[in-house]
Amino acid sequence: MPQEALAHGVLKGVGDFYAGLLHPIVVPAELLAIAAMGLLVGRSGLATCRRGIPMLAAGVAVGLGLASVVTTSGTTTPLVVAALVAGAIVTADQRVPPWVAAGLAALAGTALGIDAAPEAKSHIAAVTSGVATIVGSTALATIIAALALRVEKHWQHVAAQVAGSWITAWAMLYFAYQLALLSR
Amino acid sequence: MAGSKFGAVGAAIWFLAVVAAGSALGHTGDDHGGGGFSSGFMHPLLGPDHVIAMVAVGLWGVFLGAPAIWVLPIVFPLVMALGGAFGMIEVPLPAVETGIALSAVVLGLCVAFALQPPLWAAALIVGAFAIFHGYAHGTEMPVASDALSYALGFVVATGLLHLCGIAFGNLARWPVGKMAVRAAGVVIALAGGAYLSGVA
Amino acid sequence: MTAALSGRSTAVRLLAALVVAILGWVVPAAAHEVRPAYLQIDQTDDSHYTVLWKTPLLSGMPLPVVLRLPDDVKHVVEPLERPLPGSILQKRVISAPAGLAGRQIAFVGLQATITDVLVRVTWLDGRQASAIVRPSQPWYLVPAEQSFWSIAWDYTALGINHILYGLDHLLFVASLMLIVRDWRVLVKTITAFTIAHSVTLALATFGLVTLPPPPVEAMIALSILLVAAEAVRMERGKVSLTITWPWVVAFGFGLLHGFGFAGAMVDLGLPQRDVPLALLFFNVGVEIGQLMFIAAILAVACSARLIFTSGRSMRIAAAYGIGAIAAFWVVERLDAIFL
Repeated sequence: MPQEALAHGVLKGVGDFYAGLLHPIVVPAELLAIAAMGLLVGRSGLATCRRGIPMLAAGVAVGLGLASVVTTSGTTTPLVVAALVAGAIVTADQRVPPWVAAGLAALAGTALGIDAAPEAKSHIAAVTSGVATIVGSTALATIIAALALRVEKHWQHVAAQVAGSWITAWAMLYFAYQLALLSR
Repeated sequence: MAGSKFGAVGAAIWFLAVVAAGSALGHTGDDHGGGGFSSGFMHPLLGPDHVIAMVAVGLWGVFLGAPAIWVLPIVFPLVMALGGAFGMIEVPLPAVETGIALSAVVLGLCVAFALQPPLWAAALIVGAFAIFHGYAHGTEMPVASDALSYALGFVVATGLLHLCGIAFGNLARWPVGKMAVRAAGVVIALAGGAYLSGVA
Repeated sequence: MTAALSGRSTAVRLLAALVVAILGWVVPAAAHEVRPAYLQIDQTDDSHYTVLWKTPLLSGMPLPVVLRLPDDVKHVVEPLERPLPGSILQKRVISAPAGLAGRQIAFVGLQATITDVLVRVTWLDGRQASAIVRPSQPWYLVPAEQSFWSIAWDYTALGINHILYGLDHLLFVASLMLIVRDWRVLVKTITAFTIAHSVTLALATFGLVTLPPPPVEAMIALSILLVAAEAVRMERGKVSLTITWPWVVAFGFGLLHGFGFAGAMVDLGLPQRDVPLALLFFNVGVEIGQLMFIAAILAVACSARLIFTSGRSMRIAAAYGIGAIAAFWVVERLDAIFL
């Protein structure tokens, strides 16, 4: 049945694609790390955006590659650290030199890549899903950075700071929780 | 610029789609689970004393005017999170429930009389209140839950309540609205008093 | 002049491909055919069902597929096998106290074959359900009693799912977006595409017009290739029908894509009643999915343009990428037709 073959050809790998694409969006630590990075580079200006976003994408790619070599028990903590630092900078309305933001973005990207690495079902599935993760995280960071970059009105400025404050508060609660677990 | 409007609308729809996709995928959840978010989100909304006090902060912010109205939503979640951290690691804090009820009374009265103290005094009142509330939430945080999602839901719900207060407070631009907001302050103070005296 | 010429030659190539596609479908269709298996379930009283399971013999060998009913189903009459010319008929009577609605019937081993299974379920009250089960998804979910809202919700979800997993339709929309610059033109183009595919989806679902799926699929691939090629030509400063009136092209090819949607929807199985309702909500779902995709592309594109300036090279790269995938599909689908 040729029709069968066709339907299959279109569908093949698409499930893995969406799994990879949406991974950085449905996992809270990844989502907030990207949001914080996007806000940070966006608030730091165009030059930082142009460096930070490619660095983030490259970091994700490196992280995905690393995950196939080293096995970690998850990189939630580095992601939350990155989100906390970036969120705090945005909340305090500070600008950082482009290389700091870009370096932070690269670190966050690497942690995200390791965190999001798919369990290898097959080679093709892993590559499809990995590429989708790079696309998804970079696209999200680009959108948030562009929104933060376009801040003109006062309320938009405050909105960016409020978003940064929420991210920082979330990260603080997470670390307090980890501390509480340790002390119990 | 048509292009930028376009982009903003696109971004908004996209965000909604992402949220929809997230909630759709949420229940398939592996270890990242979506249950933590909703329980964290609901937690601040289920305690009426928390809700009224949080709305009161937003309302008061409107009366306080220019810098306070936008400093409060930025600083408030941070102080609240600090209180939450104290609660979780069990830093001893006396009379938390009394503090919460008292804060509702004080904040309600501040709104009712449309008080405009200097920023530092307002910050002190709101900050003490935020610490107490965060502390209560922190001690009540379920141990087994997904901490990341729970904390996220908690922060978002708190922030949204606060923004609701600010939005409602904007009615104070009109004389009638101003009376309504101040009346709301009276109601909040009375409710806080009821909690304080143990009636409710 | 060159634009017009190459426009004409594109049309000629398109026509040739169409002829080839139709020939390709008609000629070998009768040549070698894999007969489907057939499962019929008839309710006889509250909890009893007669099950007929007919499997084709392939060069004398029985089909290596085992029917697996839900666990709580008991045999009242054990399966009886009866050989028929070219197939085996198995009949049994089962008792399902909890009913069959919402339950799954699996065809163990089907995924290793190229055989489809036609399923037909009839209830006492005269309701019927039917579906085609394919080896890629070797189970059948007996539909539950459907209310208005459950049909509306199910088919909206199916529509969203279908468009978001239908990479070919998405790439067609993406290639149109490469050509369209102005948001007015974008609204016109997307509306034209939507109207066109709604029309043919309705016509095909009600059986008023039927086209064989394989050539339609091949033509859909060709339509993507053509629009992607036009996008590249536009970047080179050329003008053509597609570039000047993208909505005309969107409408024309939208008619084609509607047949593609119809094929998918029939595969998914229509409810016995309320076909127009299912159709409406499937279409709504397709539109929602399409708008989500367009919003995502717009948001990313506008953001990227704000930060990284060279929009033109990105567009050319995208057009070539889409074109390459479409060209691959054209070959693959034509190949599938000839096989």
